[in-house]
Amino acid sequence: MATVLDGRARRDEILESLRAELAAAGRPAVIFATVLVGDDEASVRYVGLKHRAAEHIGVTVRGVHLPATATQADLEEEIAALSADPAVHGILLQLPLPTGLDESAAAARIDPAKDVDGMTAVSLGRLLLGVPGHRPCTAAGIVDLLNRHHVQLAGRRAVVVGRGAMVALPLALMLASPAASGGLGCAAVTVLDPDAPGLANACRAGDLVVADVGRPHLVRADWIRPGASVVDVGVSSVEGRLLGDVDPSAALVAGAFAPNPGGAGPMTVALLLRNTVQAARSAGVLRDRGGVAGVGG
Amino acid sequence: MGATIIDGTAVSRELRARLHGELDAVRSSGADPGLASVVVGDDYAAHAYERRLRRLAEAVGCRFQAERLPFDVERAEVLATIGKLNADPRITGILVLRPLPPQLSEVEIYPTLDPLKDVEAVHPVNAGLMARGTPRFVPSTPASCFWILDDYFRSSGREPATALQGRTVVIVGRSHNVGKPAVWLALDRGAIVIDCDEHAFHAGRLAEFTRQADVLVVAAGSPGLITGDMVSDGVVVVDVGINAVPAGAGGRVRLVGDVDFDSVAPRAEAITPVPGGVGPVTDVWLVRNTVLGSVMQHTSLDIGPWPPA
Repeated sequence: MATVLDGRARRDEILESLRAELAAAGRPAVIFATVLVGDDEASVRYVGLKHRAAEHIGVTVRGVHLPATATQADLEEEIAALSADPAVHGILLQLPLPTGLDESAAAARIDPAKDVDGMTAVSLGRLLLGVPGHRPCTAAGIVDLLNRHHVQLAGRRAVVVGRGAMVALPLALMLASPAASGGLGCAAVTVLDPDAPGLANACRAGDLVVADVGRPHLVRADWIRPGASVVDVGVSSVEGRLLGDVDPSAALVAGAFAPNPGGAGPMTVALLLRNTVQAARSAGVLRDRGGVAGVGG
Repeated sequence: MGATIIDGTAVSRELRARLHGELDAVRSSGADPGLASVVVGDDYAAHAYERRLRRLAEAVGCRFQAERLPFDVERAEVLATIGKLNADPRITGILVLRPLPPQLSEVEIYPTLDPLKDVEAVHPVNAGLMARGTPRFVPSTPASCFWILDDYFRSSGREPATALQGRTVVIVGRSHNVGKPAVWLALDRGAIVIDCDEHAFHAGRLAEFTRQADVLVVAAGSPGLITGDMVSDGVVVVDVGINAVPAGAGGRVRLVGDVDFDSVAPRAEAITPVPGGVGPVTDVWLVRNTVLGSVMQHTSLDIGPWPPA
């Protein structure tokens, strides 16, 4: 039976250390802003989770909620104002936006120093170029979780199923780079579309398999080589139940397994707040401890 | 049966003819392309590249401006030069050549380029757009690799858009300006992409990966790294490496690729030689990006630089 890569436990550990740091520093004013457009049920829930986690560690939340009828100009104006406000340290633009609004143009208004979600082009570019910057939260969370459990990947193969710009692509970049992955540094990273022929065989070659697709139980247990690590990222809703991309029986074969829910998801929230606190350190609100994982390298 | 040896010079000639047409078209719509290079110090290869670009640009009728700065130049002066080029409406593409002297860091210099003129996509915002799969400029070397592949597939009766679907593309080398962008270009064509570098070599596993390749793109900067025993029959090989190695007495050198041509070619379906493969196409692509830049300047279609005006 696989070691469980428990994202909730690791999230709590990270949040507790951030809470303790802020408390020890005398609870300085650290402000985390979220921008939500419309009333998409899942988005409202995710923003709520992030707010609760922020408040739990002593970070002040500034929630901007625009109606679904907001124009592109309204949205960009709100984001530009938060970027310009020196009191705000982190900005999260909750996606997806209602149809008709341009995500890239809106995200371009986020000051890269406050892009704690690591999702703007500048942050992705800094990752690609290997220079300091906020790393995309889910990808960075997966890397942290693997490191926390001492998963060894140097000289091994990673397989990333999916080509999403928010998780799969940045994670592929991070896994390839020892500096960006806290030393994981895979020998080879395979990235492929879930519709590629040969998906099963590609997965069987993986010492690590990460699935970020959104197709229920796409990756089967017999696609996992015994002892491999598996991270299930994608989620789909089937008859009111949330199902991951990986058949849970893969846990019987895998050496380590990050389930869904309970694996990568909670890590996203933890890394979002870690990036926010790092942004506050960079802004001089907190003493900079330097070399924090998820920033730099 | 021997491999098809892909003639990069011929591909480059055709691309150049196309570029001529593109230049005419953008001029008639009022855009006015101009490429500027910035060379610091007297690195031989950088100056040779600058001369080549000037000849090419002038031959196709694109304005060219060479900025040359001394090796011991102050950082402020480099930034002033870039600022001047950023502000100059006659310049629509800026190329800062490597190597830079120790007092200048690429990390500091590149973000000062106007992203709309950053034809090699070294500004973080352009690198990020590339990483996200929505590139503004595709850097010239990986773009040329896939242009050559598309051209080869077309000439051998395959549809370039689907020729790589479900095929395994192995990319050796993870540089910012070649290997990493090549991953996205291959994914964009529906390939299964395996990306590896010296870690695989040190783990003794490089051949295991390269043998899986239907298409092998090598940009490792290591002469003769890939030998015949490391590839499968029928592979299509694109060799990006340009390495100067000693050739006989008298300190003479010759240029070789990362692929050991003599042992790999007999097994390959097709292979690019060095020299005469990817190199000639790269130069044309850079001027092409400058033309693209002039279109962006003219119509300001894109999201624009940070911070927004």
